[in-house]
Amino acid sequence: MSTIQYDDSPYAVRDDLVGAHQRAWDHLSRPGSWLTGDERVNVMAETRHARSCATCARIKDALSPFAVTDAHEAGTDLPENWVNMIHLIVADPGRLTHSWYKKTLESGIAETHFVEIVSVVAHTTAIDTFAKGLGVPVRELPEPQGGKPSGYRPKEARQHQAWAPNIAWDEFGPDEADYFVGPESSIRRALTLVPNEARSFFDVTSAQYLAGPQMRDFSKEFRAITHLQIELLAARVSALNQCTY
Amino acid sequence: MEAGDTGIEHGDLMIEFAEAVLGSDGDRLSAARQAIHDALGADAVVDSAGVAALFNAIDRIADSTGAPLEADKAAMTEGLRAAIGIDAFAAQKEALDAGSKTAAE
Repeated sequence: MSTIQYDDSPYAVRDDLVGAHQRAWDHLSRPGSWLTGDERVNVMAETRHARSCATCARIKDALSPFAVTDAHEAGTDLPENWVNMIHLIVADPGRLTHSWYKKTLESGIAETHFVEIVSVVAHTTAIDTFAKGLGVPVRELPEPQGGKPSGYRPKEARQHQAWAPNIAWDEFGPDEADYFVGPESSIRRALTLVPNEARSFFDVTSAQYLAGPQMRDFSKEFRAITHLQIELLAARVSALNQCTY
Repeated sequence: MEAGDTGIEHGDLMIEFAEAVLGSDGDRLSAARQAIHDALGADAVVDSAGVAALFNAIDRIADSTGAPLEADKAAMTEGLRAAIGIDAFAAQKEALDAGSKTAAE
């Protein structure tokens, strides 16, 4: 199992949080539904590499992110269209558009692969930014594990209001019944075209943020910062990312 | 929004940490981390890092998959969204989308 630890942190990290990151690291190293373990770890590496890409820096400064047409500086041997997709999600997420989504698919990335790549980028971002917040180096990437992707696409997933297909809150099948618990949430639906990615990301969410019931239980605090402090911090991060969700 | 105007205890520390962790100034981030430690304790540093990092990721899921804001949340946050400028981001995104379509035609 690919492991992850925070023994070098000056601040003791909760066991449940370390456990969630260990599960995520292991999950990311294994074949997914559509990507191999090698591809997934390469997406993690490219996510990190994008943070120092000169083209990405120019994109962030440009009036339109689509005005900069220079090639991105790839850090892996992933296909160019994957690199372009990953770099723009890392560098300028707030200015991604529906047209960008459609063009990305037209470049040859299937919607299933698109969602799985988004998930790997998001997992990596959550765990790398956590390390930065603590003041420790990013964790060593996991060793990719062999095997074939499962090819699982839930038959209930279809196009709704979001760009990427997903499963509606009242349309899940028996294989996803474990996941669709609690009040409806667009963001919890976002990755459900690839259900195991949704499960894994929201496992990390429960540890880094709050579990679903805890979000709505204002009778007590579950963290060392209050619900109000948590929501203020989250809102400021989202505003800085120009996220409209 | 000015730090300290939130009405939330130590809200200024939360805002400063959010800005520092998304920025590139290591000294600023160290100071923000230390300020939370001094005011709220070591566990608060861990939880602040967890929340900020998680939303740095969730934003990317929402923005790359086009996840829509739920109608009830939109209604509840209408005033706040206008006040802190989120509506302006949405308008900017619509303009970019329209420009992109025009360029492709």
